[in-house]
Amino acid sequence: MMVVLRAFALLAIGIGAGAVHHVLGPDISLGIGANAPLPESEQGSSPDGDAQQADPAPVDPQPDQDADTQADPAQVVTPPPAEAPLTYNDLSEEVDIRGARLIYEMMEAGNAAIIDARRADEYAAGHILGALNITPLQFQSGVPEEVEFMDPSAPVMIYCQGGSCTDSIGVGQKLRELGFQRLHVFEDGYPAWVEAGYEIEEGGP
Amino acid sequence: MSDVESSEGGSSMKPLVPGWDLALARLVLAGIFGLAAYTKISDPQSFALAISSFDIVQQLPGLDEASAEAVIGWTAYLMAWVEAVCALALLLGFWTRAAAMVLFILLIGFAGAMLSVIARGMAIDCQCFGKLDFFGDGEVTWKSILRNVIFMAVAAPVMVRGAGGLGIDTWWARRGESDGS
Repeated sequence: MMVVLRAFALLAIGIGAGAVHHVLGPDISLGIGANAPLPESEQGSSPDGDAQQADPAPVDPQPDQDADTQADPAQVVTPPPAEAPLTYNDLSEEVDIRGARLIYEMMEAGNAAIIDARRADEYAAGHILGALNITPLQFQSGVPEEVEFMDPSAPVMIYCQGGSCTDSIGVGQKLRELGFQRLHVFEDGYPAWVEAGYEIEEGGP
Repeated sequence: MSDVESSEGGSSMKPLVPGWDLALARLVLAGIFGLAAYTKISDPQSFALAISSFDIVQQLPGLDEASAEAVIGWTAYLMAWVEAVCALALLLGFWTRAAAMVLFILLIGFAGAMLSVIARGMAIDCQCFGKLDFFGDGEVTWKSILRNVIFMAVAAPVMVRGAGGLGIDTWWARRGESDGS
């Protein structure tokens, strides 16, 4: 009986300490329901003025017809009209379908990368055209080979399955530790991309 | 049965090497959970993400998204500190059986969460030790559960018998015996 009471006492001490830490410590943001912002980062951090010169020219968010020709016509629909022209500097760390499209077009121009953080079988079943498959688990055994060839100063968009999926956050954290600065999480993930009728492809890495 | 009685083996249970087997088990547990707690406390955001990736809290009935996020945030902080307090108690050999009991129950909970993940066919990173890759930490598999069972096997004798050598409980018991003699 004494042991149980002492166990409760230890629990109470731990809970008390944790509560104090929670109140005084950093807020936790998971963004359940939409992918979370990357932790320990500045929200809405668009590239600074110096970096802006290295950016490609502002890209029209409207998908151009040339890009669409790469996709299965059956899977491409006319996107809704844009509310306003979108440039890279408008993007925060969480991007919606418009931001995702913008980064996709930057990737097509060789100025950005897109990472699919889902499992290999999910990636093989369908992914954003040109996306690399890098999962959080791959970092367990070191830096994935694909990452070594990526430019840490270039914009990188990471996505997974949307919803409560956190794999994109996990990959984003690893990349941030490796010095990548322009990280963006496509919060609605692959389902939103498919729903928009944008370019996809099937097959493994 | 109190800690004092069990630390000294009472009159019914005498270890082959008096006290030192328990001390070793206790210190191993203290090291494992102390390290785990340190990584979690130093980066609660990552630990919260790890909890979130198990997709268990989100499935609880009656929790909307905001509530689930709050529960996960609190869980991350509280669990890490409970581990830290118990690790410290084990290190000192103070309230040893109680600390081992708490950790034993936590290990059962962790194993249950892992079983749930495996049963749902999810492939997630355990992150049981935060950013540190210890004891084959990685994707949740049956090996993760086996590792937990091994930890439970280490914790069980400490929970039943107490601190063993070099523990405050043991020192206190001996002091009580000498005072009484």
